[in-house]
Amino acid sequence: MQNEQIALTEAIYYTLLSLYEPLHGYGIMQKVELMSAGRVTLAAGTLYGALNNLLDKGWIEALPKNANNRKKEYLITAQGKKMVEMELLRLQELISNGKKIVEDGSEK
Amino acid sequence: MEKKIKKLFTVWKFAEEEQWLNEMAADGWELTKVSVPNYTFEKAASDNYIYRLELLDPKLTKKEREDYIDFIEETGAEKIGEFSNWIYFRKKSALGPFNLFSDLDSRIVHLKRMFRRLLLGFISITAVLLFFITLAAIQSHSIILPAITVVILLLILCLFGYGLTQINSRKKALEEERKFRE
Repeated sequence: MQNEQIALTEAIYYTLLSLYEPLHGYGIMQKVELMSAGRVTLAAGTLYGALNNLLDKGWIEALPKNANNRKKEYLITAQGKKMVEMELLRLQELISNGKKIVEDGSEK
Repeated sequence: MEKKIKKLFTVWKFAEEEQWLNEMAADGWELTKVSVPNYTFEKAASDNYIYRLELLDPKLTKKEREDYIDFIEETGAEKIGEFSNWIYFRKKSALGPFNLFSDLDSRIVHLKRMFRRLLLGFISITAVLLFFITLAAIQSHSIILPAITVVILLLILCLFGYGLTQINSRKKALEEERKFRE
């Protein structure tokens, strides 16, 4: 894992979040759209690239295909969960700093 | 009813090609077969399909390529044709919006791929022409043949140079935007 602080892209962040349960590609697209109330739509090509990058990094894993699902399913790994948790801390910092400044500013 | 149209698009006109296919679909002409430069359209209910084009990475293995196309098809789209690493996809518009890329990064990667492809084509053609120029210069006693080849080479240089600039400026614009948003 890198020591450098990283900010996840929205596509990566939402893909990781959706994979706390096993899902195939189209399932991820639908879940992300639902989670963000239609604001974020992952296009298939972009999602495919994101999934491959996440597999390479070991943040998600591909589940073995069985008779029931002919579509490839993915699941987040322990390392992937750790990245999401770190991202949550970063986002919380962004929000609290933003709120502090914006709300203080509006009081003046 | 069927309609065949001959039309040629250069690599840097891919957005125009995609737009043209979608305009044809809006007029009720759906692309069903493509073998560049021949496009076959079928008359259908208007605005039934959305068309998208993608240049695949030439380094992909056959397996990776199939894997990718399967992945796209599992999202409700279908591949209707291909032309040397260009894949023509379509999806019923009733199934919602259809895009292959949803962020700047993947659009930049796609443009970089086009740039490399065009550059590679340019280098190969230049190499062949330079070979002919040398051969013509050695073999012929007149200056005409080598001169003609040089002129052809210069024209190709201009065309490809123009194309590379076109792709590069689109890529640059996206990269500028990428500095402050995804």
